[in-house]
Amino acid sequence: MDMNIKLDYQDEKLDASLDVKLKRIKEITQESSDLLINDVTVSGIKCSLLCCEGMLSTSTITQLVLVPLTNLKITCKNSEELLEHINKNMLLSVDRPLADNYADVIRLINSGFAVLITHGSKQALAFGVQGYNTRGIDEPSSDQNVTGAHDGFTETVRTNMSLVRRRMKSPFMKFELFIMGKKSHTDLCLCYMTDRVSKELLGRIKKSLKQIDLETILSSGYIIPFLEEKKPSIFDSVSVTERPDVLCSKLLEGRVALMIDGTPFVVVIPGLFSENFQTMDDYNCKPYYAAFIRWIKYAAFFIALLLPGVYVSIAVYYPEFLNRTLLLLLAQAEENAPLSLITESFIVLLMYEIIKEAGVRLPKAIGGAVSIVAGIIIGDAAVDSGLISTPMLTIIAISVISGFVVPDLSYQITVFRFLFLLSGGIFGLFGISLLGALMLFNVCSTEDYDYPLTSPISPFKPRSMRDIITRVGFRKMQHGNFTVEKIK
Amino acid sequence: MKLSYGQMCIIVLIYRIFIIMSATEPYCAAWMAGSALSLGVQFLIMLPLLSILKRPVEFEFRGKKNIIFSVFFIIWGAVTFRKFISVMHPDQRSSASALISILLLAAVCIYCSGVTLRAAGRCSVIVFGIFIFSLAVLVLGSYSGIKADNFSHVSDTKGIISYAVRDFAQSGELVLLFILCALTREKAAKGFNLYFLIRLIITQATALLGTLVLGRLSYHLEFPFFGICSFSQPFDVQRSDALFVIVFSMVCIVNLTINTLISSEILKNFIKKPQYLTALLMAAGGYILYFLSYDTIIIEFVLVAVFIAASYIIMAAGTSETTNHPEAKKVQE
Repeated sequence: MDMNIKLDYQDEKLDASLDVKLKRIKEITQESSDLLINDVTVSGIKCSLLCCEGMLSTSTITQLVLVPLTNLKITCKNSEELLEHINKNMLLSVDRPLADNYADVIRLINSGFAVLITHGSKQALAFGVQGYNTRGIDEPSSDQNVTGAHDGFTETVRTNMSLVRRRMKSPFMKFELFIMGKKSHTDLCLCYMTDRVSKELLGRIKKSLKQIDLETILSSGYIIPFLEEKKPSIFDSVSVTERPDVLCSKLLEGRVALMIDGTPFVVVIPGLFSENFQTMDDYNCKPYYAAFIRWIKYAAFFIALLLPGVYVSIAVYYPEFLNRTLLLLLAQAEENAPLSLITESFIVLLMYEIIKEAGVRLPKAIGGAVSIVAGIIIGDAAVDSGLISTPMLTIIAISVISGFVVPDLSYQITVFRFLFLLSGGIFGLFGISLLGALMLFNVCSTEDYDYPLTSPISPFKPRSMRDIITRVGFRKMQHGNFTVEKIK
Repeated sequence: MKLSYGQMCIIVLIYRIFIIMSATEPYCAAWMAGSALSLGVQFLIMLPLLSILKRPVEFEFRGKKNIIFSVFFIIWGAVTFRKFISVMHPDQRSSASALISILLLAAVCIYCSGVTLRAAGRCSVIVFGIFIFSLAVLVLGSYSGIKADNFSHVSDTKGIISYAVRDFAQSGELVLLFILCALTREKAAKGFNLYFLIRLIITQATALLGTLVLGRLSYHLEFPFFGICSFSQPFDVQRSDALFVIVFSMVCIVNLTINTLISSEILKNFIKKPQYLTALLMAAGGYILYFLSYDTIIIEFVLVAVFIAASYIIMAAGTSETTNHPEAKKVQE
C-alpha cells in the first residue's frame, strides 16, 4: 500500500477540493509529525498553510505570511483570484513559486517553504520563508591560507551562490538550479560564466548529469564518478574546492562549477594536475616568493612519494651510490635492527597511517593523547629498544611531512608511497621506474571532456606555463587571459 | 588518431635517446663525425617522405599491408629489450634476473599500450623533459672533470664510415617516422626537421661531453654514457647515478610501449588482444638475443634499410590508390 502511494503521486495533479488535497498530502507524507497544517479562512475562502517544522523561521512566517493573510479583506470571486491577488499584489515573500502537482508541493514543504492551498483551486502558492539552522560561514577546514579570504562554502547551496555572487557581480555569471536524487531531491546548482565557458563543455556536462540515476546525493563524491571518465584513473580529473575565491578564479577560466546542497565542497570541471600545487596565497605575495613556494611543493610531492622507496632500493641494491659517511652511518644504525629494511620501513609507514587515521576520527578531547602516545611512547620507545632505526624513522617522517604540503594529493601519495616502497624494496630502482612509468601513463591518458589532465605541461603550452613554472606578476597576467579552451 | 608535430618529434627522439644511453661505441671525434654523416644521409633518405605526404591520404591502421610495420616493431622491440637487459644485466650469467626483468617490462608495456597515441605522446614529452633535466645535471656535474686535451688525445680505432654504418643500423625510429608523419599531416615537415635538428644537437653534445670527460677511458667502458654519469657527480657527498637508472628505464618503457601500441593497433583487426602477443614476442625475442654473443650490427643495418624501403613502397602505393579515388580527385580539384 505504502509503495503504491509513493509511486503514484509523482505525476498527480492537485485536486480542487481542499479536503481531498489535505487527505492526499497526509497519505503521501504518512502523517509525518513534522508536517504542520494551519487551517485559515482568507476572505471567506477556506485555506490551509502547510509547512515543515524546524525548516522555517517562525518569526518570518508570522510577520510576512500569517498576519497579512489573516488581516486580508478583499472580495474574490474564487480561489484562483485570491491566489492571484496574494501572489501579484501582496508580495509576501521574495520567492513565491506556484505548484500544480503533489510532487512539487511535497518538495517545497520539505525545502522549507510555507505552502498555501485553497479550496477550489488546483494550484498552490509557496512562500520562501526558510529559516532552518545552518552552519555559519566559517574558514574552510581543508584549504587554509594566510593572506587570503577566510570565508568558505557552507552546506546550503543558496548561501554558496551568494558567496560567489558577492565576488562576481558580472551579469555573465550564471547559476542554474536543478534537482537530483529520486529520494533526496537534492538541490544542485551549475555555475559558469556565459562569456567564457565552452558551450560544448557545458552541453557534455549536462548530458553526464542527466545519466545520474541515484536515489540520494549526500556529498560531492556521489556525483564525481559520473563526471569523470569511466576508465580508472589515479588522479581526479575534476577538482573540488571549499573556497569561494578559488572557485571564482576557476570560473573566470571558463570552467563549470557544480554546487551540491548538503556539502560545502564544490566540484569544478575540468581539473588539471598542476592546480593541486596552487593556492590563493600564491597570488597574494611577491612573484619570486610564490615561485619559490611552488617549487617547494613540487619537490615535496616527489619526496613524499618516492623517498622511502628510493632510500630502501639504494640501501639494499645500490649502496655504492651513497657516500662513505652516510653508508657507515646507515650500516651502524641497521646493524642491530632485527627486521629487514623493507619490513622496517613498511611497518613504520603503516603505523603512521594508523595513527593519522586515529587522529582524524577521534574526538578532539582525546586527540592530544594520540599525539603523546604516538610520538613519544611509540616512536621513542621503538627507537630506544632497537626495533626501528633512527634513520628509517627520519626518512619516513620527512616523507610524511612533505605529503602535508600538498593535501589535495594526500590519498594518492598515501597509497602510492606504499607501492613505491614495495617495488623499490623488491626490484630496486628498476621497480621504481616501472611503477613510475605506469603512473605516468595513467596520468597522461586521463582526460575529462577532452581536457588532458597533464596540460599545460603536456601538451606543452608555453604561454600557460607562466603560472606553472613560476607565478608571473599581475601586470603581465592581466593580458591574454587564460581559459581552459587554450589547453585543449 | 592525430598528433601534434611537437609530440611527433619527441616520440621519435625518445627512441634516439634510448640508443644514445645504451650505445656501446666509445666517444671520440670519429664517432661524432660518423654519427653526423649518418644523420645527414638519413635526412636525405627520408626527405621524399614529405613529398609523399603532400598528397591527400590518411594513414589507416587497418590496412593489410601495414602488417609489415607491425613485424618491424616487434623485431625492433626485441632488439630494444636485448639492449635494455644488456645494460641492466651486463653479466650474461644472470639469466633468471634478466628473465624477471623482461617479464616485468613486458607486463608494464601491455598495460601502458592501452592508452591512445596522444597520451603516449604526452608521456613522451614528460620523459623527454626529465631526460633534459638529467642531462643538465650531467653537464653541471662534469664541469670539473672536463679535460680539453682528451679531445685530441683520443685516437680512433675505427673509421668514420664504420661509425656512420653503426649509427644507421640503430636508426629504427625512421620507420616510426613514416607512420607518425602520416598521422601528423599538416605540420609533419616542421616536426620532421625539428627531430633531425634536436637529434643532431643531443647526439653531438653527448658525444663531445663523453669525449672531454672520459677520453681514452671510453674504450674500456661497456656503456660509455653511464661512464659519463659515474665521472660527473654534481655533489661530492652524493652520487646521481640513481637518476640515470630511472631515466633509462622510463625511456625504454616509453620506447617499447609505443612499439606495442602501434603494432597492436595494426594487428587488432586480425587478432584479439594483440598487445599480449606483441609484447610477449618482443620479450621472447629480446631474451633470446641477449644470449647471442656476436655483433648483430650488420643484421640491424639490413633490417633498417629493408624496412625503410618497404615503408616507402607502402606509403607511395597507399597514396597512389587514394589519389586515383574519385573522392581524392575532388579534394585535389
